[in-house]
Amino acid sequence: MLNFSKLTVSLGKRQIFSNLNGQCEGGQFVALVGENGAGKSTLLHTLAGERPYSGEVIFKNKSIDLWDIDQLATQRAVLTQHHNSAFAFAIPDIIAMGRHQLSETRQACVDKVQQYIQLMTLEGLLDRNIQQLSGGELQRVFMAKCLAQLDAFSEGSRNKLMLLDEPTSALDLRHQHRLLQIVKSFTQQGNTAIVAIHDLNLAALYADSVLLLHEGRLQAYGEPKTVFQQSILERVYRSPMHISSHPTLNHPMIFSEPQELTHEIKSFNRG
Amino acid sequence: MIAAVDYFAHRKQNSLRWQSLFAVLVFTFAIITLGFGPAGWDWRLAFAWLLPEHFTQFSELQLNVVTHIRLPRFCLALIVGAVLAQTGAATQALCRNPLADPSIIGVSAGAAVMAVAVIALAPKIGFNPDVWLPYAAFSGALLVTFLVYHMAQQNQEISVTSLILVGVALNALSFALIGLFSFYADDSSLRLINYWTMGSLAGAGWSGLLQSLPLILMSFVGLYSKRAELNLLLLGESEARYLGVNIQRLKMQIVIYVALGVGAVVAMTGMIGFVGLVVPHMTRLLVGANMRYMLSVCALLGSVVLLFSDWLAKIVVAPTELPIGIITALIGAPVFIYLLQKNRMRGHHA
Repeated sequence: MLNFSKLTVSLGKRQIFSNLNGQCEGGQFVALVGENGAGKSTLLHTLAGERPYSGEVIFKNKSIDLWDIDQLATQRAVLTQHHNSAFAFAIPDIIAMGRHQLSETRQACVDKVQQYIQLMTLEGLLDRNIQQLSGGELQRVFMAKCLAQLDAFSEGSRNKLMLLDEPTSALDLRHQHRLLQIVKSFTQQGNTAIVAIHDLNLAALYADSVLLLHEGRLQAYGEPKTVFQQSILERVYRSPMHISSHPTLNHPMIFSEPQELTHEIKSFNRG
Repeated sequence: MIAAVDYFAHRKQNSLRWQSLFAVLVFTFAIITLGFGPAGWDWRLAFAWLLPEHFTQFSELQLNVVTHIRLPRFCLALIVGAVLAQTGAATQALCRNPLADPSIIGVSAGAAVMAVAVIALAPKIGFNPDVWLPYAAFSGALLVTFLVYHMAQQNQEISVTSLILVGVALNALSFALIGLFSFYADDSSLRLINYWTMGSLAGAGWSGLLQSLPLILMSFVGLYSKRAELNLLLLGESEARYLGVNIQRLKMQIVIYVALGVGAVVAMTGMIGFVGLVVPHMTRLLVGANMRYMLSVCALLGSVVLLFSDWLAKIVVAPTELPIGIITALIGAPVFIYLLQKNRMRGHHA
């Protein structure tokens, strides 16, 4: 459903990544992991059709550049990391904006907005505008907008693509699981999600496959079990790691160790 | 707990309520401005011109004053207020910044420069300046909008600081040019500078209104039809693109519609500042940020504010009158300073 090959992206003179190849089938939950600055966000925005690149990005048998952006908007949604809140929109306003490309009655739109408000547990926040929300609450509002944009849970929603840039970074434990479970249900209907995420254990619990970016290259791509191996992770994250398995579920669990910093901290006083 | 259905219903109701209130205020000002003036004080004058002449006890002179002086001035205030408020809201969407306003960022001044240039230079090469005035002002507004947008933009963001600094520079340059051109004008140069930099509705007449009307209509209808896209633009450019908006085309359209509106208004009245800043801000407080609900309220409130300011301009130092720009600046500049402070407190730099 989404293929990319020989994908190279530069920002000015700096090459963010080069020669990436990958393939995401319909129905897959892909976790995108890697260090800070590994190019996860850039890759997401490139696959979304927002950045110039060299190589190929094919979404549903058509190069991403050749899609009309209004049609593309009904087939793929993007959750960005930063949200402009200079204007005090209400929560339902934001979610309704996701429905911009759909021709539907106002009533139908309002019904959908209500459904996604409930799904993202936003009911208690409706008397506030987006300037009065915490980071995690704002994340849930924009996630609801993405779901509304793709009509994610309506009958016949298939082969759609959701690109999420750290959707759980500001969420509490309950909402982390709730959001990823929603994404999982979305993919189980035959849709695809690519989710940039730092929490490897959440990635291991929910992802069908993991794409590990390191120093501008695709370090590993495959099932969580094959990617989350001690040798690979220690090389990428430069920290000691232990891999065991979840006490009740058959998923790999990653434990990292505290790093020794005494030497570096002492050097402050010496100089 | 509020359901989304209730929320949208409430929003719509609230918007309609304010629209009706402002419509009543516009009607009240219609009676005041049509019925009261040096040529006669009588509220019945506001309606008498609608009736056949022999039905009324008013003289032909009085009725002529109403139809040729008071009525065009009322229409001018109505239109100018609505256009300034709407172009202000659109400029804020274009810059994704609640502090942007055509008069602050130099667009109105750009329009005024071209208008003064035409007045000063057109007669010298045998052209009638009146015909060219709105189009010249439009081109000046267009040029400055492009300049500001490109100079203030860094990494797809427009910061408050760069926006205002570019505005200060372009305003200063424009004022210098207006001063320069007015020395080449036949008219007394000092009066001309005053008129263009402070604004006035005293020159209202049907011919000027009709000449600018096509531009005004294009701007007004154009921006109103784009209100859903303006909403998306307020979320940021990538966000809007991801929702299926052709951003380059939309920005171009907004720039042109804003320039058409501001150009036409400046050609008729000179520079009237701060309306485009204060009115959208007040409207957002009343009905929220959603352009679907706020844009029509914003236009009506703009008309009310302009009618009120023009009325003040006429009565404060009667029998002469103040330039209306002094009134709007006296109200608008403190609001602008307040918004700047609030903006800084929130630590919002984008």
